[in-house]
Amino acid sequence: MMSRVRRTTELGLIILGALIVVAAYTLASLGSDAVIPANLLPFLGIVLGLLLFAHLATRRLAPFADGLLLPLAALLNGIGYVMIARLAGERGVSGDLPGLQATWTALGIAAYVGTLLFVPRVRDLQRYRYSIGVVGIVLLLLPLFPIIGRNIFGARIWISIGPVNLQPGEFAKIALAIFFAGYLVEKRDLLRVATWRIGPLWLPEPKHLGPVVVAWGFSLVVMVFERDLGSSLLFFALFVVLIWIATERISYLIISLVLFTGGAVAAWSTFGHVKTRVNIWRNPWDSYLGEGRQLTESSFALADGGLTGTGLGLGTPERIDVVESDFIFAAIGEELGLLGGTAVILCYLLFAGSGLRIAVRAEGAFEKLLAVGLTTLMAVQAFVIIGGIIRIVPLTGITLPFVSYGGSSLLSNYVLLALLVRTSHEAETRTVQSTAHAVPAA
Amino acid sequence: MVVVLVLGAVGLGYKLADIQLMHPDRYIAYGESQRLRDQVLPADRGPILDRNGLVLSVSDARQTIYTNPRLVADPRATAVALSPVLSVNVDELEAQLSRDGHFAYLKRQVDDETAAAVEALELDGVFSIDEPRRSNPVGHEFARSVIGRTDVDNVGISGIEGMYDEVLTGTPGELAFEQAITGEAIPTGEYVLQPAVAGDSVQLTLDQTLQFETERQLLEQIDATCSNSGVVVIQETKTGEILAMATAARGDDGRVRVVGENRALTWSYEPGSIAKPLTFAGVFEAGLGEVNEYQDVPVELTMFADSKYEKTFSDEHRWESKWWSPVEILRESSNVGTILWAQRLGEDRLHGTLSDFGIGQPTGLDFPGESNGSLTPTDEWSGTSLPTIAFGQGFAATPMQMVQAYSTIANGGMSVPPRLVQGTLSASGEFSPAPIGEPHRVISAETAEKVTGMLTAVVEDGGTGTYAQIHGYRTAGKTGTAWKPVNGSYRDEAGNRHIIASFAGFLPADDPLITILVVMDDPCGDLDTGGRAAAPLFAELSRYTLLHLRVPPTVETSATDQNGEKARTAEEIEAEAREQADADAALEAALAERAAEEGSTDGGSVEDGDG
Repeated sequence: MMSRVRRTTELGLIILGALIVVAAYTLASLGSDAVIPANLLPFLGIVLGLLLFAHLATRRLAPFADGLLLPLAALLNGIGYVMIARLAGERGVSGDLPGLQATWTALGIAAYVGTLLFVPRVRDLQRYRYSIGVVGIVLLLLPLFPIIGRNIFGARIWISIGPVNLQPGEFAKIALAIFFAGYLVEKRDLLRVATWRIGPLWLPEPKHLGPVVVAWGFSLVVMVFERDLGSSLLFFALFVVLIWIATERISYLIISLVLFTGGAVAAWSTFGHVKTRVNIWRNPWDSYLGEGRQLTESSFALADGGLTGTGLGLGTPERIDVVESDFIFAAIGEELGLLGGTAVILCYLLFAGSGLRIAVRAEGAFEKLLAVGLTTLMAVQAFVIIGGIIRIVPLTGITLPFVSYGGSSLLSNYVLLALLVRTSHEAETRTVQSTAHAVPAA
Repeated sequence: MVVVLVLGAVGLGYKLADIQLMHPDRYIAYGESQRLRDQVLPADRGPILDRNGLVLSVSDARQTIYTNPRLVADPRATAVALSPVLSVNVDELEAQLSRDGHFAYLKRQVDDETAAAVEALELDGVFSIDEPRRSNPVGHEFARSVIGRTDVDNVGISGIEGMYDEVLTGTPGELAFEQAITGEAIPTGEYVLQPAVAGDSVQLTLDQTLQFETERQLLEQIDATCSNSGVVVIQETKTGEILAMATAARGDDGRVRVVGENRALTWSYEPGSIAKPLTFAGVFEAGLGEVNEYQDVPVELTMFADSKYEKTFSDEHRWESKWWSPVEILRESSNVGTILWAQRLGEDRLHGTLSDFGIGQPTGLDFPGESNGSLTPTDEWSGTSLPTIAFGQGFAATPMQMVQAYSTIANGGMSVPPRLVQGTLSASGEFSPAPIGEPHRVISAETAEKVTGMLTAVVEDGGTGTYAQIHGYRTAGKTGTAWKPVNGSYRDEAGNRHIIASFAGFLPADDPLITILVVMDDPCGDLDTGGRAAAPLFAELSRYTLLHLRVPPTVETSATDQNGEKARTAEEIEAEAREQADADAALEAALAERAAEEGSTDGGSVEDGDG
């Protein structure tokens, strides 16, 4: 009964999300071309078809799972698609992005279903934690290899296999989340024991501090060699949050912050591109025509949008370079205004809230940590890119999960979603089962 | 964890609301400041006109070619393409095209054909804007001594252009326009904040035709007399209006051309014998003698004999003492005779007379760089000051001051303030006359008449100024052959004198209409007297001027003419008409020739110095 209620809620939300997306699609078309799109009905059919497919798969494979995650992902994905479709054909946006994005969405939903199929129990992943960790590190380092590595927009985070360009870092983040969760479950008791102190801080055995230092160094390596500030920040945040949750010791948080600050200052003074980023963040107007242009144009776009936005298809977000990818939030802010932007932020907040609730309800320590890790990835990634665009933090190139254009990002986020759904299902199954057992016993 | 999450979301939301809701204005304002540009709309500079409204200086439509170097993809290729069109060397262009910033000149004020040719090249980052250039339709050098120059930004820096810069400039307007990121104006995004108000015209008293003929003949005479330079002023006697004012000089290249310096006003020199009539005017005015009062004029006059100040004055070309009245003294230009009379006059009265005639005094023209000459007060005079000043040495006057003194004599003793500017004419056609000074009396009419009579005798047969005679009119005038000081001495290292030859006079003598001064600096050979170097040009110019002003002849020209009055008049009219037609034809040809010459050297003329 529990499952049916949740799934029905999910279905209703999915249909609501699909209607919002289709309405937005129509408005965007009216706004930019003043016509109702000819493919409106097929579009509606495809959107509903894909989502119903995902819904039915969830109903069958993880019936007790949280009913909010999939509709949120679908809504974000849909809004992103509408913006991408609306941007297609504008100056500076080339290629059949909507078609590719639609294909990747379909593949993403397939990956979602596939993950639910092939990961029947989250706990099983813990056994392969080292293998998965190695895979994650290899994935992360792949772009540094010659031949397949690609340098795009100054960041070496792409690999090229045949016609397909991939960002292996997107998948590495999930692998590393699994590895960190598994490793910390194993070592948390050792890490929790403080044996010496500096001032008010109690610190664990230095040898157990190793992983923290490794993570710190690792994030620096990524930052330096791949010039990918966003990913390094993401990995570091992931590890710090996990070690903090696992050990329940605030000292780790403080040590990590100190290390991070030190690393950041060192990187800032040593590497030109880091310094540039910071300078642009502090004053983008100095390089209005140069490096600061994306940020200043984003600010103009957002300011132009105001409370309710210019309306879909009525703004000029195409002035921002790579607006369809990293900067898509600026386009949403311009055309949908503060309300639209806030809605997107709320979607992430709800998603993260659901993720944390799943972690709380999860039985096993590994599942708890993994759920926290995956939620952290989602939340931090959204925070880093939105915060970068609105200049709360230095800009780091990273996709807005589910919304930005990009196959790797969509695929990995649907896998992430599937893992959370799976974890949720397990937690609820246990509750349902214990309740079910309780009834006859009573 | 939840707290962190909520804080993060709230942070994002707050900042987003800050940008989008609370303070979107600052970004919108910043965007506008990026986009909105103000441009000064230059006001059309008013033309400078002659007395008849003919244009002496006007702003030509020109285009300035400039670049926004940031939009130039390939400076080298762009420079190579532009070089033949602009006639600027490739490296120079490339340097400008590769400069930092948004703006650099490539070539200023090119003509429309060149601008069109540049546009036809369709080069990225190369643009043109209107930038008028000052030009003179008659020729670049024509009347430039008076008109002066503007700099490349059309700001008057000398002459009338400088003096009346404010009037001519007008009031610039302001144009605001929206600018695309490429630097080009966005169509329909512009609006005029304030329209430009064109500058007023300045109308001079100069007569274009006379000015041209004066310059032409002056150039010829300087060449013919191998002088260094020359100055001519032609004044309308009764009104004080200056009809022509020319300065020409030999350049370093040996070519004689009209120069930018208006020496008629800016240069003071020792006028020499042309100042002698002023001394006699003082004598008659003081009642110290009469025109027919004869006395013995010795060959030499020695002053302060047997003292270390001993100084002997003598007349050249005279070997015996003469029984002369002032008429003969002036006709022969005797220094000794003039000194004798000046000694009767005394220092104070000599100084007073010269001052009254305007020597050492401002003329009231207020021309830029105008000199007042130099006449030291008598308490600074030495014993030899009186005798030397009496015959025109030992003080300095500008050519204009001498013209003014002669006009005063011609006007029966009344000094009419000279005028160079008639007034200003606004764009709407409203004329505001320049202030006119009050005439004042310097000498009595009787004195003026006596001096005029003496000056007439100078030009008559047997006088020193016979070369100034012209057909049909009686001329009053005086030659001047002043010693030119070279390094504080009247002789150069080789012991040779250098002279400044002048001739000043007015005509017709009975009812003077024009006053003319010709000054030739350092003529050579046997032409080194005012009578031979300056008087012939005086004659040519006075003839031309009287014809141009249509002044009928006042003297029966030939005693042997036995035909009736009617026939003679008809013949004269015919001759006059023919002469005028010839003169006009010559002028036209000369104008065309000069225009062609100007055209061929046009490119470089902007950068020419002021000569």
